[in-house]
Amino acid sequence: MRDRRRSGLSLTMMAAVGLLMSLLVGSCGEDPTEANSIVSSIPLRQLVIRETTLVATGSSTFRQSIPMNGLELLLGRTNTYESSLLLEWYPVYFPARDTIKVLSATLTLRTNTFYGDSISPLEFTVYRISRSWDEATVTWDSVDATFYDGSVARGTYSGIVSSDTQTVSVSLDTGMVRQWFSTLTTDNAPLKYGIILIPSGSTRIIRGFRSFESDSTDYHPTLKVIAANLAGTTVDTSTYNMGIDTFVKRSDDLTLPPGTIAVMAGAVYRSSLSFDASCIPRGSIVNKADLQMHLDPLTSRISRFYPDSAVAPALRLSASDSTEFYTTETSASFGSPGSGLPGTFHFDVASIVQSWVRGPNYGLVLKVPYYPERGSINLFVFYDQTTATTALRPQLRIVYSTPKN
Amino acid sequence: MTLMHHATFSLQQIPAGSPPLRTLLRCAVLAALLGTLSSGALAGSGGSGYSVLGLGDLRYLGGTRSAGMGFTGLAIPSPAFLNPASAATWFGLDRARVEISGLYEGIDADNGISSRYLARVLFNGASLGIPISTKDGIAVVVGLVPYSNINFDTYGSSSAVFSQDTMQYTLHYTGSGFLGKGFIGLSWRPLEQLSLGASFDYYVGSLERAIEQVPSGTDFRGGKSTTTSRMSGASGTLSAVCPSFGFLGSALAPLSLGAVFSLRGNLRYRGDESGSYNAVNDTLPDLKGRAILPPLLGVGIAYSLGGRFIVAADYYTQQWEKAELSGQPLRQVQNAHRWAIGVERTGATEVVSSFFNRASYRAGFTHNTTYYKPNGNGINEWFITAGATVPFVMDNWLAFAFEYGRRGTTEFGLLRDTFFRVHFSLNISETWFVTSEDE
Repeated sequence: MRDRRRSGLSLTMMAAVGLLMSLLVGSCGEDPTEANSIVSSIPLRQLVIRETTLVATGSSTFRQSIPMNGLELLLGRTNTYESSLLLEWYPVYFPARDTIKVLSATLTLRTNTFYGDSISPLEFTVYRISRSWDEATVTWDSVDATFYDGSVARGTYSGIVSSDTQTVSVSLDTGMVRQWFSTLTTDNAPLKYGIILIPSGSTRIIRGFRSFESDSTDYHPTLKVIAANLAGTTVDTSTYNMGIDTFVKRSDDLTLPPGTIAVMAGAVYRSSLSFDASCIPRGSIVNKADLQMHLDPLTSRISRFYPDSAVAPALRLSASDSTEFYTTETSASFGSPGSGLPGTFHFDVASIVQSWVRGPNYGLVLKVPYYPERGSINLFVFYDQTTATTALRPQLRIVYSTPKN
Repeated sequence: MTLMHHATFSLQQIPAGSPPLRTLLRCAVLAALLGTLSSGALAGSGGSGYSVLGLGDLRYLGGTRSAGMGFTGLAIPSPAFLNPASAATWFGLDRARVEISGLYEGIDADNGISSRYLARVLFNGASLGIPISTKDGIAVVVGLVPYSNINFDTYGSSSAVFSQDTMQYTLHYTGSGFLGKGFIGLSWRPLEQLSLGASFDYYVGSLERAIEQVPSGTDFRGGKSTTTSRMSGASGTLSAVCPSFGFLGSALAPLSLGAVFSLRGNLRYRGDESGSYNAVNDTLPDLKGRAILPPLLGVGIAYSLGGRFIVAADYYTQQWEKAELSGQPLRQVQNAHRWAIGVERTGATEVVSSFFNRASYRAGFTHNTTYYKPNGNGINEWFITAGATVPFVMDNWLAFAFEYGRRGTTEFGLLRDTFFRVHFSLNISETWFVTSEDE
């Protein structure tokens, strides 16, 4: 029995010593790094690096209805656009007071910028919204005849906005606002769905207003309510500046010159481009993919809302539906005018081309980046592959490395 | 007189055996320990740059005892060690044995300008041998041994000039993985002068090689491509030992001969290539086929001097130029030839002997024309070995072997590896299936 115990003990000791020795000697080696790498002529797998330029094999422009919900609230009308503004203050912030008398209710909006005729008056009418809405989903198509009560104007405005930092104030229907304080309307929620501002037919300007998402509450859409008790002995002034907002936009069909495609914000237009990248072997590393597009300056419109001229590329995900795409919206991939010819945009589409190499290749989609698309009416018109001038056609320059077997 | 004079104990000298369960528990603990040693956490920093070629660094079978003798042993049967290279050498096994091995490998790679020392610890095999009939020399051994492994990590740099710009880039090459061989074999001694052996071998493993391109600057993107070769399949090994030629005369009684022949391995091969580039992951369709391992022939001779000394020499050859991967010849390889000589002073068998007298001591020398042939330049290696086996309790042994040698050359832009290896193994035996008196 003693032998067995000694045997077990020896085994344990031997194992421990062995482990210790291994740890000690194993730690003697250097870590392989680039700095101490030993260069040799031992044949290693090599990369075959090539450069190729592809021309587009197809393109199209399509319209897509998306919710705006941007940082800017557009309101107004031009020849081809019409934009209405929706506001709802959070009902929970209105105290329940059935007996108050609303003496005045004033909506104040702070301007930011404009598009159109700057000296044209801005005119709009306020209506009460009749049903629930979500700023993340509502679109122009949602705003039908039942969306708001168009029979009663709850306020009107007409005036020339002379600067980008002034405020616009509108007196609202005190009866409508009193209902927002009434407990009787607690179970009658439609009365608390906010208001819609609809531009008049004679308006020739689109104004951008600050939204509830503005960094300062001073710039938020504000509702100022002066109310008194029934006896009129006590008067209170309350201010409400938290809620939801968006705008919905309509655009007439976009008419483009022949040989062009377009991307537009607001009433959203996007374009699809396709290239045949089958010459790049699968398994290749796409080192660079520079898509070069030329802007048509005569038909493009870059507004003051987002003066930085950026267009985002996206990976198209469906052969049949160009509205299905994927984009990381990284600014490094955005196309913007390069240092070469004026109006020449360069897009970094390496990730997109890499996906094509893996397959499938349904092309790419060009769009205005997320925030400008929801807060501007920028229009970028590019020459496509059918334009007569060869130099103006879209070109995709690709550098790729293929592991050699 | 035969060559089975390795230090051991007769069954009569050993108290009644312990139950198999205890041995299995010990084995499990030791296996776990060695497994830990060979895991990535303790594996160290890397291996030879030559392992980028072929199937990587081929491992020599034979165990720690054989390593101490320059990897000879085809003609040296032993009741105390399990030589995975030759089943025919197991016929003297008289007790159940477990042998678990580890390997420390340090390689100083030199290109003539600079050098780098990398080291690692590896699992080097485990075997379990059970005697079935000592009278007929029938023993069964199962085990797992490494066949080859790759572990390289190196860099290169280059540039490419295009119509508008130039791309400077670094290439980072890495390799990892191993091909292992599991075996179950049987020895049988039909004649006093002849022992035969056969084993069923099953090869399995995967070898992974990756290349990562890292452009400098932000104008160009990089990516990483990884090629994985998975292989599995069965083969077999035949062996024979003539432990004594005493029937030809007493002077030839200490002479023994051995031979081994591993059959051509026809393995399933599946190669796939995957990549991660520009945040896009891709896996290319599998390339399926066969991997052909060439047959291996080895012959050995040994002579016992005075009962305590053994001199041995082995020769191996393998036609690697006939190796294939998915129908394509293995590139950058040549036929391999290895010869080795070794000597052993066997430990005393008496229990009363001193510790150092009971230990066995070994030395050897090996020259190997490796199967590497980069750019048409055959790579040779040589190494000297020394080793010892020391008893620690009863018929249990701790074996060490040291290798020091060189491979390759700094000419032709190649590498010269100066390597130092330490083999260590635990060899445990017990008399299974014998009821102990206190149970």
